[in-house]
Amino acid sequence: MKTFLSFIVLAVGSAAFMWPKSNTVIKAAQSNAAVQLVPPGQRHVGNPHERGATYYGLEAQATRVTTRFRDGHVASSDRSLTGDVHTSLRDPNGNERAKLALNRVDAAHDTVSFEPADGTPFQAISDPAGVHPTLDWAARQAYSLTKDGTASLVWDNGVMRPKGASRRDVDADVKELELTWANGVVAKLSRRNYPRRLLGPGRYVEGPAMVTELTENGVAAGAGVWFERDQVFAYQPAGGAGSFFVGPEHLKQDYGGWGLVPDTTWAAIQTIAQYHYASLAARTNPNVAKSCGGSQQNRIAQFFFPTVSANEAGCDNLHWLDGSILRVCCDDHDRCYQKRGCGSSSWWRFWSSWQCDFCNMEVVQCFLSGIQTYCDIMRLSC
Amino acid sequence: MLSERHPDLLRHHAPVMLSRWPAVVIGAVTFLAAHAIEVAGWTTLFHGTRAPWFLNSSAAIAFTLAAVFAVSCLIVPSGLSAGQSRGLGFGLGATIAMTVVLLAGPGPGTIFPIVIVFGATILVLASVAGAWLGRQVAKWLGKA
Repeated sequence: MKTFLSFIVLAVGSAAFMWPKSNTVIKAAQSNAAVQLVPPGQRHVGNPHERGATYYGLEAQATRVTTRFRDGHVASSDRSLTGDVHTSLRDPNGNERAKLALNRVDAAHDTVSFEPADGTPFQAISDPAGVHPTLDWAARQAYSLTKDGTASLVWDNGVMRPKGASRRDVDADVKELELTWANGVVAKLSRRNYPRRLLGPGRYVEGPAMVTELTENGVAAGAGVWFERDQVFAYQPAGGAGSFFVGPEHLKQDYGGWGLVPDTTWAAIQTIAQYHYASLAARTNPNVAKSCGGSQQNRIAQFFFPTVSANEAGCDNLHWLDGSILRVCCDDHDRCYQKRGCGSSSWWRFWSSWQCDFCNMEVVQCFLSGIQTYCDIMRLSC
Repeated sequence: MLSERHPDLLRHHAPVMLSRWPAVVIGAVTFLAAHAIEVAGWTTLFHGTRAPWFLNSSAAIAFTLAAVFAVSCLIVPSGLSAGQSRGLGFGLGATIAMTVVLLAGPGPGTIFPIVIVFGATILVLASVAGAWLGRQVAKWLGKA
Protein backbone atom coordinates (compact mmCIF):
# COMPACT_ATOMS: atom_id res chain seq x y z
CA MET A 1 0.00 0.00 0.00
CA LYS A 2 2.86 2.36 0.87
CA THR A 3 4.55 1.54 -2.43
CA PHE A 4 1.29 2.32 -4.25
CA LEU A 5 0.85 5.68 -2.46
CA SER A 6 4.48 6.58 -3.16
CA PHE A 7 3.89 5.87 -6.86
CA ILE A 8 0.79 8.12 -6.91
CA VAL A 9 2.64 10.99 -5.23
CA LEU A 10 5.55 10.60 -7.67
CA ALA A 11 3.21 10.61 -10.67
CA VAL A 12 1.33 13.73 -9.51
CA GLY A 13 4.61 15.50 -8.82
CA SER A 14 5.98 14.64 -12.27
CA ALA A 15 2.79 15.83 -13.97
CA ALA A 16 2.88 19.14 -12.10
CA PHE A 17 6.50 19.62 -13.12
CA MET A 18 5.78 18.90 -16.83
CA TRP A 19 2.61 21.05 -17.01
CA PRO A 20 2.89 23.00 -20.33
CA LYS A 21 1.67 26.31 -18.93
CA SER A 22 4.58 26.59 -16.60
CA ASN A 23 6.92 25.64 -19.47
CA THR A 24 5.50 28.38 -21.68
CA VAL A 25 5.82 30.96 -18.97
CA ILE A 26 9.43 30.03 -18.46
CA LYS A 27 10.20 30.29 -22.19
CA ALA A 28 8.41 33.65 -22.54
CA ALA A 29 10.27 34.96 -19.56
CA GLN A 30 13.54 33.84 -21.10
CA SER A 31 12.95 35.43 -24.57
CA ASN A 32 11.67 38.87 -23.45
CA ALA A 33 11.05 40.02 -27.02
CA ALA A 34 9.85 43.60 -27.21
CA VAL A 35 6.34 44.19 -28.49
CA GLN A 36 6.29 46.33 -31.61
CA LEU A 37 3.55 48.93 -31.38
CA VAL A 38 1.92 50.49 -34.42
CA PRO A 39 1.27 54.23 -33.96
CA PRO A 40 -2.40 55.26 -34.00
CA GLY A 41 -3.62 56.08 -37.51
CA GLN A 42 -0.85 54.17 -39.22
CA ARG A 43 -1.72 51.04 -41.21
CA HIS A 44 0.55 48.06 -41.32
CA VAL A 45 0.17 47.05 -44.99
CA GLY A 46 1.62 44.16 -46.92
CA ASN A 47 3.98 44.26 -49.84
CA PRO A 48 2.03 45.32 -52.96
CA HIS A 49 4.35 43.17 -55.05
CA GLU A 50 3.05 40.04 -53.34
CA ARG A 51 -0.41 38.54 -53.40
CA GLY A 52 -0.94 38.92 -49.69
CA ALA A 53 -2.95 37.26 -46.95
CA THR A 54 -6.33 38.16 -48.43
CA TYR A 55 -5.49 36.42 -51.68
CA TYR A 56 -4.28 33.25 -49.97
CA GLY A 57 -7.20 33.38 -47.54
CA LEU A 58 -9.64 33.42 -50.45
CA GLU A 59 -7.67 30.77 -52.33
CA ALA A 60 -7.75 28.50 -49.29
CA GLN A 61 -11.55 28.40 -49.58
CA ALA A 62 -11.31 26.83 -53.03
CA THR A 63 -11.95 23.10 -52.99
CA ARG A 64 -11.14 22.20 -56.58
CA VAL A 65 -9.31 23.67 -59.55
CA THR A 66 -9.48 22.05 -62.98
CA THR A 67 -6.84 23.38 -65.37
CA ARG A 68 -6.99 22.68 -69.10
CA PHE A 69 -3.72 23.23 -70.92
CA ARG A 70 -3.33 24.17 -74.55
CA ASP A 71 -1.85 20.78 -75.44
CA GLY A 72 -4.95 18.97 -74.14
CA HIS A 73 -3.62 17.91 -70.72
CA VAL A 74 -6.05 18.39 -67.83
CA ALA A 75 -4.96 18.79 -64.21
CA SER A 76 -7.50 18.38 -61.45
CA SER A 77 -6.49 19.53 -57.97
CA ASP A 78 -8.58 18.91 -54.86
CA ARG A 79 -8.11 20.26 -51.35
CA SER A 80 -9.03 18.14 -48.35
CA LEU A 81 -10.39 19.44 -45.05
CA THR A 82 -6.92 19.30 -43.53
CA GLY A 83 -5.46 21.41 -46.32
CA ASP A 84 -3.70 18.59 -48.18
CA VAL A 85 -3.78 18.99 -51.95
CA HIS A 86 -4.08 16.09 -54.39
CA THR A 87 -3.57 16.58 -58.11
CA SER A 88 -4.16 14.23 -61.00
CA LEU A 89 -2.81 15.06 -64.46
CA ARG A 90 -4.38 13.41 -67.50
CA ASP A 91 -3.35 13.50 -71.14
CA PRO A 92 -5.75 14.45 -73.97
CA ASN A 93 -6.92 10.81 -74.17
CA GLY A 94 -7.87 10.73 -70.51
CA ASN A 95 -4.94 8.59 -69.36
CA GLU A 96 -3.47 9.56 -66.01
CA ARG A 97 0.09 10.77 -66.53
CA ALA A 98 0.99 11.70 -62.96
CA LYS A 99 -0.23 12.26 -59.43
CA LEU A 100 1.04 14.91 -57.06
CA ALA A 101 0.22 15.19 -53.38
CA LEU A 102 1.04 18.15 -51.18
CA ASN A 103 0.78 17.06 -47.54
CA ARG A 104 0.82 19.64 -44.77
CA VAL A 105 3.39 18.95 -42.05
CA ASP A 106 2.85 22.09 -40.01
CA ALA A 107 1.86 25.70 -40.61
CA ALA A 108 4.89 26.36 -42.80
CA HIS A 109 6.16 23.04 -44.11
CA ASP A 110 4.78 20.55 -46.61
CA THR A 111 5.97 17.41 -48.30
CA VAL A 112 5.54 16.94 -52.02
CA SER A 113 4.93 13.44 -53.37
CA PHE A 114 5.12 13.01 -57.13
CA GLU A 115 4.16 9.77 -58.88
CA PRO A 116 4.59 9.79 -62.65
CA ALA A 117 2.85 7.01 -64.58
CA ASP A 118 6.04 6.12 -66.46
CA GLY A 119 8.85 7.15 -64.10
CA THR A 120 10.26 6.93 -60.63
CA PRO A 121 8.18 8.48 -57.86
CA PHE A 122 9.83 10.78 -55.33
CA GLN A 123 9.03 12.68 -52.17
CA ALA A 124 10.55 16.05 -51.27
CA ILE A 125 10.31 18.76 -48.67
CA SER A 126 8.74 21.88 -50.11
CA ASP A 127 10.44 25.25 -50.07
CA PRO A 128 8.59 27.25 -47.38
CA ALA A 129 10.13 30.49 -48.62
CA GLY A 130 8.63 30.22 -52.09
CA VAL A 131 5.85 27.63 -52.10
CA HIS A 132 2.28 28.40 -51.10
CA PRO A 133 0.30 25.16 -51.01
CA THR A 134 -2.32 26.36 -53.48
CA LEU A 135 -4.35 24.23 -55.85
CA ASP A 136 -2.96 25.91 -58.94
CA TRP A 137 0.63 25.52 -57.71
CA ALA A 138 0.10 21.75 -57.46
CA ALA A 139 -1.50 21.60 -60.91
CA ARG A 140 1.27 23.59 -62.56
CA GLN A 141 4.01 21.70 -60.74
CA ALA A 142 2.56 18.35 -61.80
CA TYR A 143 2.32 19.58 -65.40
CA SER A 144 5.84 20.98 -65.56
CA LEU A 145 7.39 17.92 -63.90
CA THR A 146 5.57 15.68 -66.36
CA LYS A 147 6.75 17.80 -69.29
CA ASP A 148 10.34 18.46 -68.18
CA GLY A 149 11.18 15.34 -66.15
CA THR A 150 12.44 14.90 -62.60
CA ALA A 151 16.20 14.58 -62.98
CA SER A 152 18.40 16.75 -60.65
CA LEU A 153 15.61 18.97 -59.41
CA VAL A 154 16.26 22.46 -58.10
CA TRP A 155 13.96 25.09 -56.64
CA ASP A 156 13.51 28.06 -58.94
CA ASN A 157 11.33 30.83 -57.56
CA GLY A 158 9.01 28.39 -55.80
CA VAL A 159 8.89 25.85 -58.62
CA MET A 160 10.78 22.56 -58.98
CA ARG A 161 12.49 22.07 -62.31
CA PRO A 162 15.39 19.97 -63.64
CA LYS A 163 18.69 21.74 -63.17
CA GLY A 164 19.46 22.19 -66.85
CA ALA A 165 15.93 22.91 -68.03
CA SER A 166 14.82 26.42 -68.87
CA ARG A 167 12.10 28.08 -66.82
CA ARG A 168 8.66 27.12 -68.17
CA ASP A 169 5.88 29.73 -68.38
CA VAL A 170 3.10 27.34 -67.36
CA ASP A 171 0.46 30.05 -67.11
CA ALA A 172 0.89 30.80 -70.80
CA ASP A 173 0.05 27.13 -71.44
CA VAL A 174 -3.21 27.37 -69.50
CA LYS A 175 -6.19 27.44 -71.83
CA GLU A 176 -9.10 27.22 -69.40
CA LEU A 177 -9.51 27.07 -65.66
CA GLU A 178 -12.46 26.16 -63.47
CA LEU A 179 -12.29 27.01 -59.79
CA THR A 180 -14.87 25.65 -57.34
CA TRP A 181 -15.12 27.94 -54.35
CA ALA A 182 -17.14 28.03 -51.15
CA ASN A 183 -20.93 28.58 -51.01
CA GLY A 184 -21.59 27.12 -54.47
CA VAL A 185 -19.51 29.76 -56.26
CA VAL A 186 -17.77 28.53 -59.41
CA ALA A 187 -15.42 30.62 -61.54
CA LYS A 188 -14.77 29.56 -65.14
CA LEU A 189 -11.91 31.27 -66.88
CA SER A 190 -11.15 31.21 -70.59
CA ARG A 191 -8.90 33.22 -72.87
CA ARG A 192 -10.41 35.44 -75.53
CA ASN A 193 -9.52 38.18 -77.95
CA TYR A 194 -11.51 41.38 -77.77
CA PRO A 195 -11.91 43.98 -80.49
CA ARG A 196 -11.20 47.56 -79.46
CA ARG A 197 -13.86 48.85 -77.08
CA LEU A 198 -14.42 51.75 -74.74
CA LEU A 199 -14.54 50.86 -71.02
CA GLY A 200 -14.75 54.36 -69.58
CA PRO A 201 -13.85 57.95 -70.38
CA GLY A 202 -10.70 57.80 -72.46
CA ARG A 203 -9.96 54.18 -71.58
CA TYR A 204 -9.93 51.80 -74.54
CA VAL A 205 -9.04 48.14 -74.25
CA GLU A 206 -8.48 45.39 -76.78
CA GLY A 207 -6.59 42.22 -77.47
CA PRO A 208 -6.01 39.07 -75.43
CA ALA A 209 -7.96 38.81 -72.20
CA MET A 210 -8.66 36.36 -69.40
CA VAL A 211 -12.41 36.20 -68.91
CA THR A 212 -13.84 34.79 -65.70
CA GLU A 213 -17.54 33.95 -65.55
CA LEU A 214 -18.91 33.50 -62.08
CA THR A 215 -21.93 31.48 -61.03
CA GLU A 216 -23.45 30.87 -57.63
CA ASN A 217 -25.50 27.67 -57.38
CA GLY A 218 -25.68 27.64 -61.17
CA VAL A 219 -26.98 31.21 -61.49
CA ALA A 220 -24.85 33.83 -63.24
CA ALA A 221 -23.27 36.04 -60.58
CA GLY A 222 -20.78 38.26 -62.40
CA ALA A 223 -17.83 38.40 -64.73
CA GLY A 224 -14.30 39.72 -64.53
CA VAL A 225 -11.96 40.44 -67.43
CA TRP A 226 -8.22 40.96 -67.25
CA PHE A 227 -6.98 42.69 -70.38
CA GLU A 228 -3.42 41.41 -70.62
CA ARG A 229 -2.00 44.03 -72.95
CA ASP A 230 -3.66 47.06 -71.38
CA GLN A 231 -3.24 45.80 -67.78
CA VAL A 232 -6.85 46.58 -66.95
CA PHE A 233 -9.15 44.56 -64.72
CA ALA A 234 -12.87 45.05 -65.30
CA TYR A 235 -15.70 43.59 -63.26
CA GLN A 236 -19.39 43.44 -63.94
CA PRO A 237 -21.96 41.97 -61.53
CA ALA A 238 -24.74 39.89 -63.04
CA GLY A 239 -27.26 42.70 -62.70
CA GLY A 240 -24.98 45.13 -64.52
CA ALA A 241 -25.13 47.85 -61.84
CA GLY A 242 -21.88 48.39 -59.99
CA SER A 243 -19.47 47.51 -62.77
CA PHE A 244 -16.03 49.12 -62.66
CA PHE A 245 -12.52 48.80 -63.96
CA VAL A 246 -9.03 49.31 -62.53
CA GLY A 247 -6.14 50.28 -64.74
CA PRO A 248 -2.52 51.16 -64.08
CA GLU A 249 -3.51 54.84 -63.99
CA HIS A 250 -5.50 54.18 -60.81
CA LEU A 251 -2.61 52.44 -59.04
CA LYS A 252 0.21 54.66 -60.18
CA GLN A 253 0.11 57.18 -57.34
CA ASP A 254 0.07 54.71 -54.43
CA TYR A 255 1.77 51.65 -55.84
CA GLY A 256 3.39 52.71 -59.11
CA GLY A 257 1.14 50.37 -61.09
CA TRP A 258 0.32 46.71 -60.81
CA GLY A 259 2.86 45.38 -58.33
CA LEU A 260 2.42 41.75 -59.32
CA VAL A 261 2.13 39.77 -62.52
CA PRO A 262 -1.48 38.56 -62.75
CA ASP A 263 -2.07 35.03 -63.96
CA THR A 264 -5.15 32.96 -64.66
CA THR A 265 -5.70 31.96 -61.03
CA TRP A 266 -5.29 35.55 -59.85
CA ALA A 267 -7.93 36.67 -62.39
CA ALA A 268 -10.37 34.04 -61.10
CA ILE A 269 -9.69 34.80 -57.41
CA GLN A 270 -9.91 38.55 -58.04
CA THR A 271 -13.33 38.11 -59.66
CA ILE A 272 -14.49 35.97 -56.74
CA ALA A 273 -13.19 38.61 -54.31
CA GLN A 274 -15.17 41.37 -56.02
CA TYR A 275 -18.32 39.31 -55.90
CA HIS A 276 -17.74 38.05 -52.36
CA TYR A 277 -17.06 41.41 -50.74
CA ALA A 278 -19.64 43.33 -52.76
CA SER A 279 -22.41 40.90 -51.89
CA LEU A 280 -21.38 40.02 -48.34
CA ALA A 281 -24.40 41.79 -46.86
CA ALA A 282 -26.78 40.39 -49.44
CA ARG A 283 -25.47 36.89 -48.85
CA THR A 284 -26.80 36.95 -45.31
CA ASN A 285 -30.28 37.11 -46.85
CA PRO A 286 -31.71 33.59 -46.87
CA ASN A 287 -33.54 34.17 -50.17
CA VAL A 288 -30.61 33.29 -52.37
CA ALA A 289 -31.52 32.42 -55.93
CA LYS A 290 -30.80 28.84 -56.83
CA SER A 291 -31.07 26.97 -60.11
CA CYS A 292 -33.66 24.26 -59.59
CA GLY A 293 -33.17 21.44 -62.09
CA GLY A 294 -34.55 22.70 -65.39
CA SER A 295 -33.87 19.34 -67.02
CA GLN A 296 -37.28 18.00 -66.01
CA GLN A 297 -39.20 20.90 -67.53
CA ASN A 298 -41.56 20.07 -70.35
CA ARG A 299 -39.84 20.48 -73.68
CA ILE A 300 -42.99 21.60 -75.50
CA ALA A 301 -43.66 24.21 -72.85
CA GLN A 302 -40.05 25.26 -73.18
CA PHE A 303 -40.53 25.73 -76.91
CA PHE A 304 -43.55 28.00 -76.61
CA PHE A 305 -42.62 29.66 -73.33
CA PRO A 306 -38.86 29.45 -73.20
CA THR A 307 -37.13 30.35 -69.97
CA VAL A 308 -34.27 32.80 -70.06
CA SER A 309 -31.20 30.87 -71.06
CA ALA A 310 -28.95 33.84 -70.50
CA ASN A 311 -26.98 31.88 -67.93
CA GLU A 312 -25.51 29.62 -70.63
CA ALA A 313 -22.13 31.14 -71.24
CA GLY A 314 -21.09 31.82 -74.82
CA CYS A 315 -23.09 31.76 -78.04
CA ASP A 316 -26.16 29.55 -77.58
CA ASN A 317 -26.28 26.90 -80.34
CA LEU A 318 -23.32 28.57 -81.99
CA HIS A 319 -20.62 27.56 -79.53
CA TRP A 320 -18.20 27.07 -82.37
CA LEU A 321 -17.76 30.85 -82.16
CA ASP A 322 -17.00 30.83 -78.43
CA GLY A 323 -13.29 31.25 -79.05
CA SER A 324 -13.72 34.08 -81.55
CA ILE A 325 -14.08 37.83 -81.20
CA LEU A 326 -17.85 37.37 -81.64
CA ARG A 327 -18.11 35.66 -78.25
CA VAL A 328 -18.34 39.00 -76.52
CA CYS A 329 -21.48 39.82 -78.56
CA CYS A 330 -23.21 36.73 -77.20
CA ASP A 331 -22.15 37.40 -73.62
CA ASP A 332 -23.29 41.03 -73.80
CA HIS A 333 -26.59 39.83 -75.26
CA ASP A 334 -27.02 37.27 -72.48
CA ARG A 335 -26.41 39.93 -69.85
CA CYS A 336 -28.82 42.29 -71.60
CA TYR A 337 -31.46 39.53 -71.63
CA GLN A 338 -30.89 38.72 -67.98
CA LYS A 339 -31.05 42.34 -66.91
CA ARG A 340 -34.32 42.95 -68.72
CA GLY A 341 -35.91 39.54 -68.17
CA CYS A 342 -36.04 38.65 -71.87
CA GLY A 343 -36.46 35.28 -73.56
CA SER A 344 -35.92 33.99 -77.08
CA SER A 345 -39.60 34.70 -77.86
CA SER A 346 -38.73 38.41 -77.94
CA TRP A 347 -37.34 37.81 -81.43
CA TRP A 348 -40.78 37.14 -82.88
CA ARG A 349 -42.95 38.85 -80.23
CA PHE A 350 -41.10 42.09 -80.85
CA TRP A 351 -44.02 44.23 -79.69
CA SER A 352 -43.84 42.81 -76.16
CA SER A 353 -40.72 44.67 -74.99
CA TRP A 354 -38.72 47.41 -76.62
CA GLN A 355 -35.90 46.75 -74.18
CA CYS A 356 -35.59 43.18 -75.44
CA ASP A 357 -35.69 44.47 -79.01
CA PHE A 358 -32.81 46.75 -78.10
CA CYS A 359 -30.82 43.70 -76.88
CA ASN A 360 -31.56 41.90 -80.15
CA MET A 361 -30.66 44.88 -82.33
CA GLU A 362 -27.47 45.33 -80.38
CA VAL A 363 -26.35 41.72 -80.84
CA VAL A 364 -27.03 41.89 -84.59
CA GLN A 365 -25.05 45.13 -84.80
CA CYS A 366 -22.27 43.57 -82.71
CA PHE A 367 -22.08 40.53 -85.01
CA LEU A 368 -21.94 42.72 -88.10
CA SER A 369 -19.22 44.95 -86.68
CA GLY A 370 -17.33 41.88 -85.41
CA ILE A 371 -17.43 40.32 -88.86
CA GLN A 372 -16.25 43.63 -90.30
CA THR A 373 -13.39 43.70 -87.77
CA TYR A 374 -12.48 40.15 -88.76
CA CYS A 375 -12.51 41.14 -92.43
CA ASP A 376 -10.27 44.11 -91.66
CA ILE A 377 -7.83 41.90 -89.75
CA MET A 378 -7.78 39.33 -92.56
CA ARG A 379 -7.66 42.13 -95.16
CA LEU A 380 -10.79 40.78 -96.85
CA SER A 381 -13.38 42.87 -98.66
CA CYS A 382 -16.63 42.08 -96.84
CA MET B 1 -52.47 34.58 -115.04
CA LEU B 2 -48.95 33.96 -116.23
CA SER B 3 -49.94 30.49 -117.32
CA GLU B 4 -52.86 31.87 -119.33
CA ARG B 5 -50.72 34.42 -121.14
CA HIS B 6 -47.53 32.36 -121.44
CA PRO B 7 -48.46 28.67 -121.30
CA ASP B 8 -45.21 27.78 -123.02
CA LEU B 9 -43.24 29.37 -120.18
CA LEU B 10 -45.03 27.32 -117.57
CA ARG B 11 -44.54 24.16 -119.56
CA HIS B 12 -40.85 24.91 -119.83
CA HIS B 13 -40.38 25.48 -116.08
CA ALA B 14 -42.67 22.77 -114.77
CA PRO B 15 -40.18 19.92 -114.99
CA VAL B 16 -37.56 22.08 -113.37
CA MET B 17 -39.83 23.01 -110.47
CA LEU B 18 -40.94 19.44 -109.99
CA SER B 19 -37.43 18.12 -110.13
CA ARG B 20 -36.43 20.40 -107.25
CA TRP B 21 -38.59 18.55 -104.76
CA PRO B 22 -36.51 15.36 -104.69
CA ALA B 23 -33.48 17.56 -104.13
CA VAL B 24 -35.20 19.32 -101.23
CA VAL B 25 -36.10 15.98 -99.66
CA ILE B 26 -32.62 14.55 -100.18
CA GLY B 27 -31.13 17.74 -98.73
CA ALA B 28 -33.27 17.35 -95.62
CA VAL B 29 -32.48 13.65 -95.30
CA THR B 30 -28.76 14.35 -95.71
CA PHE B 31 -28.79 16.90 -92.90
CA LEU B 32 -30.83 14.61 -90.65
CA ALA B 33 -28.48 11.69 -91.30
CA ALA B 34 -25.44 13.84 -90.55
CA HIS B 35 -27.11 15.08 -87.37
CA ALA B 36 -27.91 11.51 -86.28
CA ILE B 37 -24.28 10.49 -86.75
CA GLU B 38 -23.16 13.56 -84.78
CA VAL B 39 -25.53 12.73 -81.92
CA ALA B 40 -24.26 9.14 -81.82
CA GLY B 41 -20.60 10.11 -81.76
CA TRP B 42 -20.85 13.56 -80.19
CA THR B 43 -18.31 13.15 -77.40
CA THR B 44 -16.09 10.51 -78.98
CA LEU B 45 -15.85 11.56 -82.65
CA PHE B 46 -16.66 15.24 -82.46
CA HIS B 47 -15.30 16.05 -78.98
CA GLY B 48 -18.49 17.97 -78.20
CA THR B 49 -18.85 19.54 -74.78
CA ARG B 50 -22.21 21.25 -75.35
CA ALA B 51 -25.52 19.94 -76.70
CA PRO B 52 -25.17 17.80 -79.86
CA TRP B 53 -25.65 20.34 -82.63
CA PHE B 54 -23.48 20.84 -85.66
CA LEU B 55 -22.73 24.53 -84.97
CA ASN B 56 -21.42 23.73 -81.50
CA SER B 57 -18.29 21.97 -82.76
CA SER B 58 -15.87 22.73 -85.59
CA ALA B 59 -15.51 19.01 -86.36
CA ALA B 60 -19.30 18.66 -86.63
CA ILE B 61 -19.50 21.69 -88.93
CA ALA B 62 -16.83 20.20 -91.18
CA PHE B 63 -18.60 16.83 -91.20
CA THR B 64 -22.04 18.27 -92.00
CA LEU B 65 -20.73 20.54 -94.75
CA ALA B 66 -18.72 17.69 -96.24
CA ALA B 67 -21.83 15.49 -96.27
CA VAL B 68 -23.96 18.22 -97.87
CA PHE B 69 -21.27 19.01 -100.41
CA ALA B 70 -20.71 15.36 -101.33
CA VAL B 71 -24.38 14.40 -101.68
CA SER B 72 -25.20 17.59 -103.58
CA CYS B 73 -22.32 16.80 -105.91
CA LEU B 74 -23.54 13.24 -106.48
CA ILE B 75 -27.22 13.91 -107.16
CA VAL B 76 -26.63 16.32 -110.07
CA PRO B 77 -25.38 13.65 -112.50
CA SER B 78 -28.07 11.28 -111.24
CA GLY B 79 -30.75 13.64 -112.56
CA LEU B 80 -32.49 14.05 -109.20
CA SER B 81 -31.51 17.72 -109.02
CA ALA B 82 -32.12 20.20 -111.79
CA GLY B 83 -28.92 21.67 -113.05
CA GLN B 84 -30.53 25.09 -113.29
CA SER B 85 -31.37 25.11 -109.57
CA ARG B 86 -27.61 25.14 -108.83
CA GLY B 87 -28.09 23.19 -105.62
CA LEU B 88 -30.47 25.72 -104.08
CA GLY B 89 -33.23 23.15 -103.67
CA PHE B 90 -30.86 20.79 -101.93
CA GLY B 91 -29.64 23.59 -99.67
CA LEU B 92 -33.23 24.62 -98.94
CA GLY B 93 -34.06 21.09 -97.80
CA ALA B 94 -31.00 20.97 -95.54
CA THR B 95 -31.92 24.37 -94.10
CA ILE B 96 -35.51 23.31 -93.36
CA ALA B 97 -34.24 20.19 -91.59
CA MET B 98 -31.68 22.27 -89.68
CA THR B 99 -34.37 24.67 -88.46
CA VAL B 100 -36.66 21.85 -87.36
CA VAL B 101 -33.82 20.09 -85.52
CA LEU B 102 -32.77 23.34 -83.85
CA LEU B 103 -36.23 24.14 -82.54
CA ALA B 104 -37.09 20.58 -81.54
CA GLY B 105 -33.68 19.61 -80.19
CA PRO B 106 -31.42 21.96 -78.26
CA GLY B 107 -34.14 24.66 -78.12
CA PRO B 108 -34.10 28.03 -79.84
CA GLY B 109 -31.56 29.73 -77.58
CA THR B 110 -31.15 33.46 -77.22
CA ILE B 111 -29.72 34.19 -80.68
CA PHE B 112 -31.58 31.63 -82.79
CA PRO B 113 -32.26 33.93 -85.80
CA ILE B 114 -28.51 34.52 -86.10
CA VAL B 115 -27.94 30.77 -85.74
CA ILE B 116 -30.44 29.99 -88.50
CA VAL B 117 -29.02 32.63 -90.86
CA PHE B 118 -25.48 31.45 -90.21
CA GLY B 119 -26.36 27.77 -90.61
CA ALA B 120 -28.47 28.36 -93.72
CA THR B 121 -25.70 30.38 -95.33
CA ILE B 122 -23.01 27.75 -94.94
CA LEU B 123 -25.37 24.88 -95.88
CA VAL B 124 -26.53 26.61 -99.06
CA LEU B 125 -22.96 27.55 -99.97
CA ALA B 126 -21.81 23.95 -99.52
CA SER B 127 -24.79 22.70 -101.49
CA VAL B 128 -24.26 25.15 -104.36
CA ALA B 129 -20.54 24.38 -104.45
CA GLY B 130 -21.28 20.64 -104.51
CA ALA B 131 -23.84 21.03 -107.30
CA TRP B 132 -21.40 23.11 -109.33
CA LEU B 133 -18.68 20.49 -109.00
CA GLY B 134 -21.19 17.76 -109.87
CA ARG B 135 -22.19 19.58 -113.04
CA GLN B 136 -18.58 20.06 -114.05
CA VAL B 137 -17.85 16.38 -113.53
CA ALA B 138 -21.01 15.41 -115.45
CA LYS B 139 -20.01 17.66 -118.35
CA TRP B 140 -16.52 16.24 -118.37
CA LEU B 141 -17.87 12.67 -118.34
CA GLY B 142 -20.34 13.56 -121.12
CA LYS B 143 -17.55 14.87 -123.32
CA ALA B 144 -15.38 11.92 -122.53
